Amino acid sequence: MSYRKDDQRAQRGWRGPRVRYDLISEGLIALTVVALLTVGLSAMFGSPKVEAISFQSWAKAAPDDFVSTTLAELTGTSGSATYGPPYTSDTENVQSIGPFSPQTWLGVTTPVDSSEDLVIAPLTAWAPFEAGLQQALERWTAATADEQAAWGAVALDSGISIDGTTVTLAPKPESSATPDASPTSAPSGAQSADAGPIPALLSAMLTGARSGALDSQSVNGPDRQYATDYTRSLLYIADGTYAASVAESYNLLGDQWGVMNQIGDWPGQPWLWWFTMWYQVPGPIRASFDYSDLIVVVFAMTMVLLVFFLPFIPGLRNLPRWLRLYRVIWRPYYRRYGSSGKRESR
Amino acid sequence: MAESEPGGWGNQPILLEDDPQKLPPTLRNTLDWRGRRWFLRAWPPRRLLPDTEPTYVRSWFYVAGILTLASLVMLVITGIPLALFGPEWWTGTSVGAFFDSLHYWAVELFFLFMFAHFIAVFLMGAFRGRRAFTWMLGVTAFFVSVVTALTGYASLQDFEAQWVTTQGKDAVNATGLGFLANLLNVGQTLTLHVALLPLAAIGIVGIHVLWVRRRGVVPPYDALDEHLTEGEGAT
Repeated sequence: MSYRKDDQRAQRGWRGPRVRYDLISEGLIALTVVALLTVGLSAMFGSPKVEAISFQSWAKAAPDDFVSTTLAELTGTSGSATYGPPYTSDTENVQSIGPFSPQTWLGVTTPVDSSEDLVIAPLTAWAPFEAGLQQALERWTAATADEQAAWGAVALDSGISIDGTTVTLAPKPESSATPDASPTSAPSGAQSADAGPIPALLSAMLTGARSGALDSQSVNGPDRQYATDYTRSLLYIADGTYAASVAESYNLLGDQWGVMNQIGDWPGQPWLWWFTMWYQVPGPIRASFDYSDLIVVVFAMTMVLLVFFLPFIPGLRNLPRWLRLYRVIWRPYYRRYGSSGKRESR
Repeated sequence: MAESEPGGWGNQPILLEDDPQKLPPTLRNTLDWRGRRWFLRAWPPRRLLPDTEPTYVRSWFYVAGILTLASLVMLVITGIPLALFGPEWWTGTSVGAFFDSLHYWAVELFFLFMFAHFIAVFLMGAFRGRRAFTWMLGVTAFFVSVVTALTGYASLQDFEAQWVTTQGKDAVNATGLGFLANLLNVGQTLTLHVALLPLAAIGIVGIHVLWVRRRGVVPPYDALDEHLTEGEGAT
């Protein structure tokens, strides 16, 4: 039978047999069942609790990662420093499908200056306590952008070693630096000096993070006495690899079904499967689409729209008819009364 | 459940008490009167709160819808103390953590039952017979619920919140909606989660339920002709 005929028949009212029904009673019974299930499941299994990563816990558990991330923030090479809108104005890493790039439409609406906001601002607050830091900071802020870039290039090309809270930069054993990446062409063994005040600044940041000062002061700025916006501190933490390594240990990475999962055996957000599944697509589809979040959103929203408009899509709207599983749902009716066109015996 | 004979009293037309002929002329055709008449025609009390339903409704597959509604009520009930006492309560005390767990399991049940309801109504072809709007409201309710749940996770203030928000922000930013929904701003996610989005979800679910009552439960494929009225009508 065509969908049109099915549709027209379903517009007709019902004059067949009826059964007693009590909506409010059914609702109350359902609420009781759900309440018992909720309390029972909560009492038996509770819910997952993993403390948030703080700058202190990060700097203690993975000081190397904290310092190299801080260096990336200071030199403007971190993920958030090169993110593009809504945080920064550059567009190198902006997501797009051809010319379609909604990320750029409204420009920078949540400005983040990684170097200034995440590193220099907290250091400036601490500088009065320590003359060495004060000098290093003055040297950094007095330098030209070119000088800062040159120090940064040397630092980024160096290996980081940490002793307590003292950070030193030394040439990597097998440096992969190209002349372009190391404009000062520092002689071997003298890179620490050419990195200018950067080692001192990194040491101060590590000290502040380990002591908890970076958490309590917060990089969200002194003008935010009542802060609810953690954009800057969360971007900072997410720029490192520590958060991802913790996430990986709980199977929370994107290619581990990502945000749909939850730590341990808790069910997480299984209702996101129609979104998360697109991150799992392997092989040529993934490669050919240069898999970005934007592609995933487009695929997932297409699915939602297909389901939304399903009653109007020929073929799809006939699926229930073809699947014939409705015969299971209405088996008692068909058994007792048969169906139109073909009476069935009881 | 007792079953009445075909054409039993449950199928009698429902008379409105709002006959315009009985109203003084000055009171007719006000917007109030029109609104009241539209509402009573669409949802006569006996259709809103029925005491009979077509016989084919006797199936466990119909239970998922009301269980979804009950879970939504449970979400509101368990959410109120969380909203009252705030994040420090659910992150720092055992009683708060238990209520957090209640809210957590309520949302797991909510989506489980909603999914079961979705599968059931899909297999029934429940969008047939001028019920497409009801279907679309249901899909919208699902989508709004997903966003509501995401803002809930974002407001937890634990590691999972950190991870979900720092990962999820990329998808939001990629669509250009970063200015509207900054997942890293817990002030924004929390107010979205406890105020605006639940209102939207409850509103959409409410209209969905009203439309289910208005059109009635879809009759089976190949229902007998003698069980269907000649013209259009509700079940």
